[in-house]
Amino acid sequence: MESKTLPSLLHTNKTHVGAVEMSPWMYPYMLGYRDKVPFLNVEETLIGTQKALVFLKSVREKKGEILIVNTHPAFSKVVKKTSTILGIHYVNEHWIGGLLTNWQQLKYSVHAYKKFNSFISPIITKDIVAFPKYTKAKKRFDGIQNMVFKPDAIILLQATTAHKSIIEEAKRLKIPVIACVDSSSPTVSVEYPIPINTYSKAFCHFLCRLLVKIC
Amino acid sequence: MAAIVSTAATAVRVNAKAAGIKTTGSSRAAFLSRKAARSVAAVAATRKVATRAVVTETTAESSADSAELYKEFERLLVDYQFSYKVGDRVTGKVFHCDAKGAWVDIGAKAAALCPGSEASLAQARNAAAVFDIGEEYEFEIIRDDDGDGSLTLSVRKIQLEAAWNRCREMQANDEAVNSVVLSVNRGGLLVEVEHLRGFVPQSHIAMRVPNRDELIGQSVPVKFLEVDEEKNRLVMSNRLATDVVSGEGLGVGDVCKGVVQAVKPYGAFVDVGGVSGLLHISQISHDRIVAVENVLAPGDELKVLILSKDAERSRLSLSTKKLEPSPGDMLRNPALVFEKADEMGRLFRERVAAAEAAAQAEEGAVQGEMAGMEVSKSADEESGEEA
Repeated sequence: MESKTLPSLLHTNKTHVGAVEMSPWMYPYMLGYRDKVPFLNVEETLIGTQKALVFLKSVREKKGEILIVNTHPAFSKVVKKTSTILGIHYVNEHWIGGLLTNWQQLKYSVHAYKKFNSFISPIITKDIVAFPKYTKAKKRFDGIQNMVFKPDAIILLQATTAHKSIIEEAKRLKIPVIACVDSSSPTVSVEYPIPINTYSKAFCHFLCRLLVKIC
Repeated sequence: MAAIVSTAATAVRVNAKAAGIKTTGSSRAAFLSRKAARSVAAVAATRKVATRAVVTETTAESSADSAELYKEFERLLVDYQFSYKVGDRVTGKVFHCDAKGAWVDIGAKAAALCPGSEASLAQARNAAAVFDIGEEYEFEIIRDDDGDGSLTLSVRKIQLEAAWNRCREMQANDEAVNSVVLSVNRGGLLVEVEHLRGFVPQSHIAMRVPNRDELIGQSVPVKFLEVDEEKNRLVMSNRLATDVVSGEGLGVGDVCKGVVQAVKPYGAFVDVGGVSGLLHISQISHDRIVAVENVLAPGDELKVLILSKDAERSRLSLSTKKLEPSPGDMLRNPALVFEKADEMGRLFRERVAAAEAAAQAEEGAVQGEMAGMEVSKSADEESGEEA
């Protein structure tokens, strides 16, 4: 029988399977591979999550701001729920380029959306009229309505090739980043990498639950 | 940890001093200052993660049961299947629906997406209308993963196959189904059966409406003529499906009222009681007719005599020639033909019956002769054929 320890649960949920293209800087986190499919070491995952959570807790104690970035549409509901419970900012489904480094310009758009949203959201319901610009803006700005300035920590739930820009932005502004990296991620030079299969729904739920419990 | 912080503080002070005396100090002092600077940098880098010390202790504990972990890992490796090929059937649980489609957990590395366009054979607005969250469905893989492990699924393909199978079955059983008319064109009707588009040629339409556009949106019974999946051909017949109703009432020699449907150079197509028949140009009248259009026009009502029935294709051969009281009446006085049609039809039948009786009597006589002439078989066969 399978034991119900945490590593075995992660195994059964296929969180340790890596992407086929392997980046060399992920080698220390990998156990090996079979048939071109690499496997990540679940122990390293757990160590990484522990480190990240300890750091996050310290950030919260100092009343710092946290930003969760998630671009996989399948997880958007969970992330939204977690963020509303914890009261932290989130980016769902689309990261606007230059959100942090170009904050001087972006803050106007965010403010405009916030004003418009507070005016129209009690009135509008989706079935009455199609409002494509509003829905588009909602997708991008809904989580960062109340963000005043740069956050003190960023949690990247998918650090794949497309998200290199986010890591670069954070590096430029010296914001510590917690990133869930996969075997095909472009870089591991984040402060708190968590080697994990970035598409696994189980781990995303697991992480969000831990966040709610601890932070 | 406190020790580290204090050394950091002292190192900062040292660095400040060292920076001040860098230009004038001896090489040993410079070396020391550089070393101090490096250590400061190192400490600064780790200052954010100063809590790391706490965590490393736990790893020492967990190494004891790592051996067991690896054994279990080995076992799980054997059970897993990681290669999903295009064309595989998988069952998965839908856990999220959004504008793009439905995200399905099939037990692979990443969740697979079933796009909204592939969610169902019928036109569905979005995937959320088709799938319930948390339910298991069957899918087929249509696109391989793009290196990340995320596959594309489709339900439509499975339903398409099932629909074609059902059509083939129904053709084999010769069943009639109800279909909805989508549109009308010159060649016939476009109908929808089992979410598949099919075609009913004009010759196979049994309904008589002056304006065929009225049929759009109505449901008509059809039977299958041709079901070919590779060529994507689905041809159906309305006439065969409704033939049972109207074809039996008419027999050879009946006189019926008909409406002219179409006029061709070789004759006219007349609809008699729901079945279409050909009134050949030679059968319209005894007199020579130059053009059928001069005599008949579409929509004309007339009485026709049924000469023969083609049960297979459900076509009739019609005639008005036999109904003319005197030759040439159809051209001169069609109304007279109309009135006298029943009478003439009866006369025709009598004549036919008499001719048949005569033929049978002859045959009987011939047969009697044949019975006596059994000597030469070849001669018998010849005479038998002649008679």
